[in-house]
Amino acid sequence: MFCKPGSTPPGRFERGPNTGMFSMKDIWRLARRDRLSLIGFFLFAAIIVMALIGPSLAPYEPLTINRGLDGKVPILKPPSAEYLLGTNDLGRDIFSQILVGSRTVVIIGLYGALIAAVVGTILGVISGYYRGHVDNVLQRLVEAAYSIPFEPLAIVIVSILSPSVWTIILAVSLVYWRQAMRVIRTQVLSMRERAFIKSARVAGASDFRIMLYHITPNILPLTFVYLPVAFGNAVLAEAAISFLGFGDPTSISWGQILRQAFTKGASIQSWWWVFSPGLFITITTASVFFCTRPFEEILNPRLRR
Amino acid sequence: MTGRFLVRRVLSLLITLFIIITVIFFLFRVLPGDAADYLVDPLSSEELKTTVRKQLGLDRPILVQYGLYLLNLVKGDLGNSFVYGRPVSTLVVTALLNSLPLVVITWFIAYFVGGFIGVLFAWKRGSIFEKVGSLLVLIIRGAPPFWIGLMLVYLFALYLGWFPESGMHAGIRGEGDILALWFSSEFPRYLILPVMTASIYSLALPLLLMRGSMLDVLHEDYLDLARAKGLKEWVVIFRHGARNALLPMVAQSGTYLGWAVGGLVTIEVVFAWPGMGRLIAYALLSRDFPLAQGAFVGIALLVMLLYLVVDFLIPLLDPRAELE
Repeated sequence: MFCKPGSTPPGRFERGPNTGMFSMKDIWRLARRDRLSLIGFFLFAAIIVMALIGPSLAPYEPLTINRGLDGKVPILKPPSAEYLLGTNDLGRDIFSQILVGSRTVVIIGLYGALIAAVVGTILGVISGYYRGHVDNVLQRLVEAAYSIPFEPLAIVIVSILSPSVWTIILAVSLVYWRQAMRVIRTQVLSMRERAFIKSARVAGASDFRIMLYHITPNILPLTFVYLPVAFGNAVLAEAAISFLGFGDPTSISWGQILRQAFTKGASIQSWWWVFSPGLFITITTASVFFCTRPFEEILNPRLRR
Repeated sequence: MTGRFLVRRVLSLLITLFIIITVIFFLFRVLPGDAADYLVDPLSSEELKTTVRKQLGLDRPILVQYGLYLLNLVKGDLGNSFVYGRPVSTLVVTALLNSLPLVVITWFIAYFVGGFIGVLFAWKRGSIFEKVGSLLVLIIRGAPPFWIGLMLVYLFALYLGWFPESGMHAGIRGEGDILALWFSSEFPRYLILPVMTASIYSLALPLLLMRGSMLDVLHEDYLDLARAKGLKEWVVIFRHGARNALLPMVAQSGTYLGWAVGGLVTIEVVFAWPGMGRLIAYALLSRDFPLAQGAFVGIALLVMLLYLVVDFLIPLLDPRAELE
C-alpha cells in the first residue's frame, strides 16, 4: 500500500521502492488530513458554482456601455456599490465581465485538463508497459515537447487554427499531456514487474487486456490527482494566451479583460481594471494547488513533503 | 566511455532537434493561404502572386521545399522576415542577445534565492515561518506572471516612480551596439522590474526542489558528525548539508535556462523588452511566419545545447553520477 498509517510519521510517505499503487481512499485520507487542501477544495467549488450560475447573476450586460441616472457614461469609475469592481474605459461593468468570463475560464480549464490527463495516461501506460522501442520513440516526443517553451508553442497552435475556445483547449492539452505521461509512465514501469501483472500474463491475457483491466484501474487515482494540477495550468495558460492577444474574440475571459486593460494603457488611476481579474485567476489556480498539496510528492517524485 | 556517451547523447539530441524542426515546418504549412497571400496586396493581380510564389519557391512540391529548408538551415539561412525584410537569422540573434541578460540574471537570482529559501524551509520544517512561506509560494505559483509584473509596475514605476515602467534603454529599442547597452549606466534601472517579476515567478520550482532534496540529506550521518565536531548549526546546514543537496536543483536549472528564453514571453510583453518571446508573439500577431519559425528553431537549438552542457556539469558536481 502506498501509505501505511503507523509505520510513517503523519504527512510523510513510506520510503523505499514506490509500488505505484494507492487507492481513492488514500487520496481522501491524505486530503482530509490537510486543512489547506480542504480550503482549496471549497474555493474551487465556489469557482465552479460561479461559472455555473455567475453569468446569469451579472448585474449588467458585460459589453453594454452603461449610462448613469444623469445620462453620463461612467468611464473608469472606481469600485462602488453601483459598480462593485469599477468600470472600464467604455463604461462597462468589470464585475459583470468577470462573472461572465468565469465560464470561459472554467470550460477551458476543465476540458484542457481532462484531455491532457486522458492523453497523458494512455501514452504513459503504453510507454511504460511496452518499454523498448515504443518507449524510446515516445520519450523523444516528450523531450521535444519539453524543449519548446509552452507559451510560444501554444500561441502558434492557436494562431494557426484561428483563435477560439476549442483551439485554446487543444493547445493547452497538446502542451500539458507530457507532465501526466511522465508521472504515469514511471509508475507503470514499476507496476508491470509486480506479481499480479505477471500472473495475468501467464494466464494468457493479451497486452491490451492487461493494460485496460489490470494497469489502468490501478493508475487512475494518479490521473485523478493530476487533474487539478492540469486545471490550474490550463487556467494560467488561457490567461497568458488571451493576454498576448490570441484569445477567442467572441467570448470574454479574465485574460482578455487584462489584455484590454494593458493595451489601453490602464494607469494607476484605474488600478481596479487590472487588479480584480488577476486576483480571480490567482484565487482559482491557488485553490487547485492547495487541493493537491498533499499529493505533491506523488505528482513530482523529486519534491518531498 | 565518455566519448561514447558524448556521441550517443549528441545523436539523441540531434534526433529531437530534427523532430522539432520538422513539426514546426509542417505546422506552418497547415496555415490557410501561403506567404504570397500575406506579402502581396489582396487587390493585386493573380499573376503578381504567382510571380511571388515562384520567387519564394512555393510552387514546388512541399517535400522539395522541406529539403531546401533543411539545407538552408544547415547553412544558417532562415529566410527573410516578411515585416522587416531582413534576414531572420539576424533578427533572431538580436532578440536572443536582448533576452540574454534578462534570462541569465533571473536564472541566477531565482536559483540562488530559491535554493536558499528552500534550505531554510527544510531546516525550519513545521515552524510558522515555513508554513506561511509555503502558503505564499503556492499563491505565487498560482498568479499569472504578467499580472505580477503589472502590479509591480503600478507600485514601483507609477506610484513610487523609482524605475522606468518599460523598455530596455531610453531611446534604444534593442538595436545598435549591444555591449554599449549592457554596460550603460541606465541599463540596470530598466532591468530591475522585469528581473524582479521573472524571479518571483521562477522562484518556486528551485525552492521546492531544494527543500525536497535537503529533507533527504538532513538524515545523513555526516551531519551528526559535523555537529559532533562542534560546528555551528548554520555551518552544518549550509556548508555540509546544502552542498550535498544541490544536485536535483542544478540538474533542473539547465532546463530552466532553455525554457526561459522564449518562455518569459508575457513578461517581455509587459515590459516591452525586445527579447525572444516578444519576437515570437509579435511575429505571429503580424503573420510574419518565417520570423516565428526561425525563432522556434533558434530556441530549440539553444535548449539542446543547454541540455548537453547540463549533462556534463552534473558529474562535476557529484562524482557518484557517472556519465551513464
